[in-house]
Amino acid sequence: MKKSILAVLVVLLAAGSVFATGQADDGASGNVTLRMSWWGGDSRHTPTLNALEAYTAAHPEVKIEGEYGGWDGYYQKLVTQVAGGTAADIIQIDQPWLSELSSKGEVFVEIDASMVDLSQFDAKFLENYCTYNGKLMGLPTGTNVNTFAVDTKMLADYGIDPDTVWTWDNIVSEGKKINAQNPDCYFSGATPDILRFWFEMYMAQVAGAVVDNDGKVAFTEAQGTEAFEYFQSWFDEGIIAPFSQTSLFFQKFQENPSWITGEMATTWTWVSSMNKDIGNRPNFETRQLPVMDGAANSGVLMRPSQIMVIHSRSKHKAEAADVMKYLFTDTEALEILGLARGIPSAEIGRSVLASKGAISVMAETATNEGIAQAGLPQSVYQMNSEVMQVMQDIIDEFGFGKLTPAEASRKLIANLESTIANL
Amino acid sequence: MTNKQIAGKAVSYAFLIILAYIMVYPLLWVVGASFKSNAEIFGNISLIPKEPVFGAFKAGWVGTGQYGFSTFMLNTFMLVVPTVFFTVFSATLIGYGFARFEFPFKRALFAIMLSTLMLPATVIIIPRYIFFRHLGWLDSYLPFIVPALLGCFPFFNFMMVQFIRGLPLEIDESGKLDGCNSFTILTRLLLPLCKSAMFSVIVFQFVWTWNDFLNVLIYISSVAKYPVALGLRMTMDISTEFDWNQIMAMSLVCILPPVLVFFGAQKYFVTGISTTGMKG
Amino acid sequence: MKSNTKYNYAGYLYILPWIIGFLLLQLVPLINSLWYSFTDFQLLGSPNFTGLANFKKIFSGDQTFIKSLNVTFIYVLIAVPLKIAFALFIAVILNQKIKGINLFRTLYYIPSILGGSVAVSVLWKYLFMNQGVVNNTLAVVGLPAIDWLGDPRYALGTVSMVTVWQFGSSMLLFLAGLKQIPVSLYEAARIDGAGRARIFWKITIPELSPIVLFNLIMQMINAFQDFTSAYVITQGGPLKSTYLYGLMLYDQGFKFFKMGYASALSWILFVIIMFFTSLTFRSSQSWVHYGDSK
Repeated sequence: MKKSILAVLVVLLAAGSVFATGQADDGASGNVTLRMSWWGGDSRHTPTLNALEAYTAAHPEVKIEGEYGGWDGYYQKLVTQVAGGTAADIIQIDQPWLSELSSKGEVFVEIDASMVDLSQFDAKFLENYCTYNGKLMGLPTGTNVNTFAVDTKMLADYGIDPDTVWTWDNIVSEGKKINAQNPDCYFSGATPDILRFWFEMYMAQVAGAVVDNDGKVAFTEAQGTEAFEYFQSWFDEGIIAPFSQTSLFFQKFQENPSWITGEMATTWTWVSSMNKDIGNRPNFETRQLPVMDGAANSGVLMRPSQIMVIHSRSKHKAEAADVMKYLFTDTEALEILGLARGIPSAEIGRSVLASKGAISVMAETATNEGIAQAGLPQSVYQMNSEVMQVMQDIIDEFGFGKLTPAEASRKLIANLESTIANL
Repeated sequence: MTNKQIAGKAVSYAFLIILAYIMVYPLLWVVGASFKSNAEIFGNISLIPKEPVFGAFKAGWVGTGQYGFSTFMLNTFMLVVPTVFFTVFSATLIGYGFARFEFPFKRALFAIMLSTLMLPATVIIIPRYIFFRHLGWLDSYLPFIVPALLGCFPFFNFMMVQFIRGLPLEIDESGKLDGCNSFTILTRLLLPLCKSAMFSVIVFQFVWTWNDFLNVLIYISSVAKYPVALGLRMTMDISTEFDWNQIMAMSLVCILPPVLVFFGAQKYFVTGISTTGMKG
Repeated sequence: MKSNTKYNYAGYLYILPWIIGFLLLQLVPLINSLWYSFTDFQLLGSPNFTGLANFKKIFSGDQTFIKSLNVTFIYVLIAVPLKIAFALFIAVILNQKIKGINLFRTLYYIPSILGGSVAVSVLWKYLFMNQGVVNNTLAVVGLPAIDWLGDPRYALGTVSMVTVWQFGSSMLLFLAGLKQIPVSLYEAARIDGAGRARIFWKITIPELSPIVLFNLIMQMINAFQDFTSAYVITQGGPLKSTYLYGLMLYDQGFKFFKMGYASALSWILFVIIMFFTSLTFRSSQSWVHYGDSK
């Protein structure tokens, strides 16, 4: 027994040290090895791997290694790799990272029409969301917009017309019926992070933005107070649950048992994560979000689901670009990929999937309605993670009743100004 | 046994059992959760699933990507076993060196050694990553194995110092009289008395390396080399749904090796030194 | 250093692996991070020397720094003594001859294996939320419900409890230490007619003191930097009531890209930990008894 354990140990040690040193070296026989990294679930991993395999079948001289995993830690690893110059050749990134990383140096390769047929994409969309300093840095995988998911049956059960066109006013006047009839139930499920999105949308409609493109706070103290007073009514009228119950589910709204068991009727969400949020609750439909009359900016967000970029330190930029071209515009690839990254932004992608009937009616409706009411892109300043943290901190203090609406507005302006000055 | 003794035993047992329930509750919950649907995992706080779902173990083990858990398990062993082996080896030597010898700058060196534990890893990650890149160690297990060999886990060095210092000096002295040199004093006389400490090193380093997520995340890029800590999270996306019960099921499978190592090492805590029959 | 010490240079030979490891693997990253703390390093691009700017900013009213340091001190003060006391208590009980002791020992160690697992990360909320398992259990006994994680007053305590719950490693060390105590000591004491309590305080504790010191130092060093429980359970909330120093460092470094600033914060923590560690070592001369000092 002891001997066999020792034998196993020796084998593992030997194997470990052999295995440990093997870093693949490419280029020896004229072959190219590309690395591509992305995060996702199985519904993304499998089709992506299949598409890469199909590409390799047609291009035997190119080998593509997928470096894929879950969401946890993906960004930290990417940042570390970029700092070390070891990031993959083709990288899937989240939209806010594009400017965040580009502002620190030249990280991505500029994409031009010689690489991929850019006419497949909406020019405005590329300009608004995929460029940095006027240079196109990546391609959008899909179009993602905000939507308002409502449980039509639950609304009807509480005497609310499920076909209501929502306004900021009737959210309160109609929405309060639910909590009034059942103190355990609420009109909407908003964790502190989701209330921040609501707040940003409200401010966009009132003042154009929270922070404008010049890094200036866009709203006045009075406007801020008005907004906080409005959201105070959400707590007072039982539109949303107190933060002490929901703060636990920060950024994990869909894990709240009150939501899962149907004690909350509606939520603000992204179309891309709508299915995850709804889970297996039946009777859900999407509605447009409330927009004030005459608002210059609806604040309804639209952005790429993800962006694909080429690393500036890639040794095989041309080959990487060719793989991008394949993934974004080749009929075969688009069929294999399906909805792995949401409804494609490229026109050919949408038509390929539509012809196969792969796009669900709900997702398509939500996307089209969202695009129809989408507002302006948020400024780089407003999307800065430190600025978002400042907003979140004030929303938390306000939601926990530590700040009155007037105090919250004043403190928010002061903290935003000092943080932006330090960026 | 007197009535009083029996009552005492009963109280002891009752306490141990209640505490055991609190300790193991999360594990029981994970077991239950591997048979629950997502909705039940988050919606039903009871341990027992109302509508059990089967097949999470099989589906989780196979995975749907290129590699399944058999690969990840094997990888983890290749990472953990050498790391643990070298840690025990280096920690024993270093611990002995600090515990039993006087040499210039000993206290300063010891303080430096401990101080390397006091700087938060967060700010070391990037410089260390860049450093390991220069050495060509990225995407391999060397960032774990070589530091183990070179005693860069001061926790264990310090631990061995404390255990060896707990042993009476007379042992060494009698060894010297018997003609032992300093190395044979260690191997023949002291180590047999340190068995329980050495097995603690094995258990701790095994469990910690097995569970380590952040470091393997940073250093290992090829899915073919993923250990279980990465394998477990590789389908967990923020926006698309994934089957929690598969993650629960695989988490269960993945804690088996550490539990077995612990269970196996236990007897060495019992038969360490001539203490059988001791009572608290 | 005592003047009559007889040096034995063979000691260097034994600690040689660490000396090489330190010089080769640890020193460079360490110096780098010290250098970063005097720069505006933002992860990408090259750092610019900014002198003491980071430190000035930290000490001239970084509210988060003060809040976070406060939270961390309370956390260390609650979690470390409780964990060690509990581990020692259980180790002494488990050191008895009781049927099924191996099983109990394993069961008590399981939390330490399961600790940071993704599987239990979702569990805590269901244990401690309003309608959660803990409150339901309290209700059965007739006790009022507590907002364990939603109320800023209690959240840090709850997070600390989760840390204490993972007392297995400390327990294991105490068990290993208990096994090293020669039986003859106990027998002699019993012959002298010493009672249980007396044996515990006069023999067990002194004999175990090197391990108590080890546990105390290591748990303290870890607790000052720890953020796993808080990250997994509350992400620093509610109202930053569990925003441990380690969380702040992570945010500054990897969320806000202020690696220079994070490095400065780290070195401040380094000094704090160093201070309390040396203090503990200094005090240990009066209460730790080594086998080699007799």
